[in-house]
Amino acid sequence: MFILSLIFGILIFIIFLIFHILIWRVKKPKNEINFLFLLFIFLPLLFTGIILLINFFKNFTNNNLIFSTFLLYFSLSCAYIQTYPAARANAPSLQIVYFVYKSGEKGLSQEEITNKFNLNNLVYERVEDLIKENFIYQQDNSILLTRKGEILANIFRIYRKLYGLEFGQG
Amino acid sequence: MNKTTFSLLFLLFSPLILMVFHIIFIRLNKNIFKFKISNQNTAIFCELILNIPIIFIFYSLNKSFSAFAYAFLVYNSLGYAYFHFFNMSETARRIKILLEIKKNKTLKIENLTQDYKSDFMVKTRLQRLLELNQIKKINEKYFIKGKILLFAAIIIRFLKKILNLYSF
Repeated sequence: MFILSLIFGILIFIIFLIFHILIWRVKKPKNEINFLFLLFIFLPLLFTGIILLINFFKNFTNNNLIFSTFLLYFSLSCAYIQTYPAARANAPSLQIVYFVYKSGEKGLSQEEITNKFNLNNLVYERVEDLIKENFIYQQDNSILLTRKGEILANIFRIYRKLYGLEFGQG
Repeated sequence: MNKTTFSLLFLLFSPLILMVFHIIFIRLNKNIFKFKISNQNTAIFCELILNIPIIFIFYSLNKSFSAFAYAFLVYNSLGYAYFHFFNMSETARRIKILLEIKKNKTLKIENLTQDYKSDFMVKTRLQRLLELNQIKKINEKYFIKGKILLFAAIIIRFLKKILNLYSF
């Protein structure tokens, strides 16, 4: 059974990945993360629910095969969704690693690395993203949390508390 | 509930087991062991070490090589997603901005850029990369050492290219 789950799970993930690439190349959605969840999680979940329902009446396959296929697909999708923000947001740590790699045997000093970063891009892009996704709003020259932003900030505050850790340094 | 259904549910909830194990590990390390290990490394360590019991239990219940490969792929994909979530709370600028506003109720954009000076950001990240053994420092110059984040950086560049995102 698990051979079939491996084949179907990976195949379904590849199909949704191709859809995602095609959509992004034609027209990138405004709210990318919500769209990713819709495409990779909610639609397949709905699809799996329908198949389970049909299987309940027609009994054409084992329910565990459907469940295990969806679980594999779901885990691959979670891994991909968590990777996407790093691609979207120019993760500075990965940029540093890439700059250092490109410098080869010459290496790079801290100053040379710092000069490669544009402070405006690093902060303003993130602020713009947060405004676009309705987590914060701007009032005159100040920024404030929306209800949605307040909830997310609380989730991360509690999450860090569970580990007994201070806020991350960003 | 048969054994297969139980083992699949066990795998589905494996990130929760990982989270509990990670919380206990961090708290014990902070108060008792006091190993010099970065928070990110604790997440990687816990994810890797839990491969042994989780895959063993899944394999014992299903007894086939395909079940072993299946459990390995599912657990590590979920573990990878868990690591990213934890890492987001540790390093993401967006989360840091939200928490800063939460703390101060409101924030001026200029203050944010003052707190987020690029030399400070670079210094923090260089320190993390040194702790993760991904770069090395020789005579005030940084060189590549590990291959894991370099591989990730190359994959991300490829992803940006095929998805038509901005390139760095």
